[in-house]
Amino acid sequence: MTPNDDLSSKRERELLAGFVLGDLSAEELQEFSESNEIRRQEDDLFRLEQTAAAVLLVNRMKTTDDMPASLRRRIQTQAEPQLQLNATAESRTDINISPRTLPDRRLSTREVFAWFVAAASLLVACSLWFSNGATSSAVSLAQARDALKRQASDLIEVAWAPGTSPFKEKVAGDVVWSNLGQNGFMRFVGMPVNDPTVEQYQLWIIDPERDDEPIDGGVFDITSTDECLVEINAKLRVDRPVAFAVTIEKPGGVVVSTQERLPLLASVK
Amino acid sequence: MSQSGEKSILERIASGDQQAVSDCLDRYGRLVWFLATRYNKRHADAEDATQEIFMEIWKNSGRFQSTLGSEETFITMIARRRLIDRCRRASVQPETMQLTADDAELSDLYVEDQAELTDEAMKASECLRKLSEEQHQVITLSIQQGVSHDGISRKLGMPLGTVKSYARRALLQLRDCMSRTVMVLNAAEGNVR
Repeated sequence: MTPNDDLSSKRERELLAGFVLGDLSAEELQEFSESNEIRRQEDDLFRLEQTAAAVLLVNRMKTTDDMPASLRRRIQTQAEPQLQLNATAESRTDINISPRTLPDRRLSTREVFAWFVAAASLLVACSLWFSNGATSSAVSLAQARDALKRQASDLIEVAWAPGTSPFKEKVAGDVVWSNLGQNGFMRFVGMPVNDPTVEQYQLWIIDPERDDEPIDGGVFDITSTDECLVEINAKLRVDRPVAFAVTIEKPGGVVVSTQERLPLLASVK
Repeated sequence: MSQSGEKSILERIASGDQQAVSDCLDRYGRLVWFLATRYNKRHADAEDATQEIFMEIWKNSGRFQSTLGSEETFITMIARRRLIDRCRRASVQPETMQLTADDAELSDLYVEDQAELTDEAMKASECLRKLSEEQHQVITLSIQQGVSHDGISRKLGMPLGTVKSYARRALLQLRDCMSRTVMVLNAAEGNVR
């Protein structure tokens, strides 16, 4: 190792620690995202997250309040559909949406934030823990979607319709979503295959009760024009969705879409 | 699964046992609520955060492996990361309760009984003692008290860059120290390959 290599890895370790502490500046985030080395640091990231959690547990207060009873009831109600899904699929290893891969091209600061929120948060932070949890009893996306349709008492099911900039050929399919379970799936038939190094699809959930800005529902790729299923990965809790929209964005997705290319829309009646 | 063959709470949740939800809330509800209120000043935001954290826990329960750490650490990791992401999305630093000049000392009055700490927390406690006074103070305020680095800078009269530097190096040292502790314990138990 040369002295320069050592300096470089020291800087990357510092940036990793800053990320775990949540104190990276916009410039540091940019630097962090442009480091090829970072792609090989998931193990370190996991250990630092685990260290921070352990430090937090050393000194937590002994006498803290219980959460409000009404909140506890809501959490219990919200858990029911998810637990039903868990029962159907004891391991959800292959139905959790794949974390976004870090795009190869340079990213804007806003895109870096989008990527970190989506990928470098839970899934990457816990990747070591998670990757070791793989089992052979994983169910398919289709089975998980079927289970949601059978079990969710508040199921929303809406068909895709052309958006403001439709595809040349009609795309069929639908969205299924459960507010209680906070999960759902998109189904596409005849959707154009995208080149992830050039552009990616991104789902947006429009929920005016929750926020004026649409909620990011996850970046995804389509690899076949046959039927494709994609699990929705909402970054915020969805209260009352009125529509689901698919836009075409730069690799890695964006935090706020200009909606210049919005080929598909599914409106909740 | 534990050595006794009894399923952990998270394993029961992963297998769809509805009763495990109540058990999880009984055991970890206070911890998550404490963290949510620490990071959110507004009650409604703390409630939203708590709901989001538990939804993540239900969804990811199948990924928990007791060989890699305790349930409490797993849940704290999910909670902490979700809370930091929420703050980042909102482009605000965690808002915390107003701290007095003696916060670091006062917090010791509320420390959990050491016997109740998880293995990871015990190791962290030992490793914290090995930090310099400044590093200890900064990392304690940052992680345990949830004070932003701006806030620490104001409180301690330290330049922001110095605070960041102390915090990051302290976390890296803690990580290294905890790894060494694991190796020593493994060696003592004859588990080293």
